[in-house]
Amino acid sequence: MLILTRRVGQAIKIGDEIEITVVQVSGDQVRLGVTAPRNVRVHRTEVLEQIAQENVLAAQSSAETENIERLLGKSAKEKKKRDSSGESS
Amino acid sequence: MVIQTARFGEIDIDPEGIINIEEGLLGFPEENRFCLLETKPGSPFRWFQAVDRGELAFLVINPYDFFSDYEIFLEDEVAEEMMLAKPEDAAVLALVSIQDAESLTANLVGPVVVNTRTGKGMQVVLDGERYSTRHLIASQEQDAAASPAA
Repeated sequence: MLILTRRVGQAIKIGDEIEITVVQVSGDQVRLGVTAPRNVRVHRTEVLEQIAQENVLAAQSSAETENIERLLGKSAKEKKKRDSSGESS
Repeated sequence: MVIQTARFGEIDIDPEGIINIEEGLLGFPEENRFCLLETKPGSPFRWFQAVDRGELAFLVINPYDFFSDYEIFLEDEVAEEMMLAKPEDAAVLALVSIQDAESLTANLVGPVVVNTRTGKGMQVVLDGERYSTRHLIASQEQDAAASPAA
């Protein structure tokens, strides 16, 4: 891993097309500006990790749970309740 | 087209209905082909079944069935990559998890968006604070509170 020091307003370049600029530093927060080609998706790492974890849980929990039918039946009822209350209001 | 599944055994699916997710889902990069199966006729829950891995299936909902104010903003480049010309061509699925065997939650941060014309799909990442990976759909506690007589 490359570790380097930058000041506010300075940047690093990754390859030819990606540039990350330090915009602001306050306390332990750093605001970054990212310039990247349109086909490069930029996301917060922890959001991707959360989604991946939840995907794994979704796969495991729906495979294992025995009372899934009951939970599903109940949720469908919840939806109906919501639908009908929506119509009456 | 006949596929093997853990939940339904051997089933015949319509190859036209296969959803292709080139990059897979986050955490499941190798599964690229999925199909949608009913749980029960009329149920808002469906199975998002991996075509090439029979034991892998996700419960999914149309998030708008449960969260009517849900909004997705697709960046232009994502829409382009998916060849989505019109919003009407997009179907949205939210993956459902079961928490501690007693409540159902939907992941609204990472919905699967499908181009219904081409069958091309993608798990989209919605940055920002607005949604979480666990929006409550239903729970046993809710049920107990709703029926005090029991």
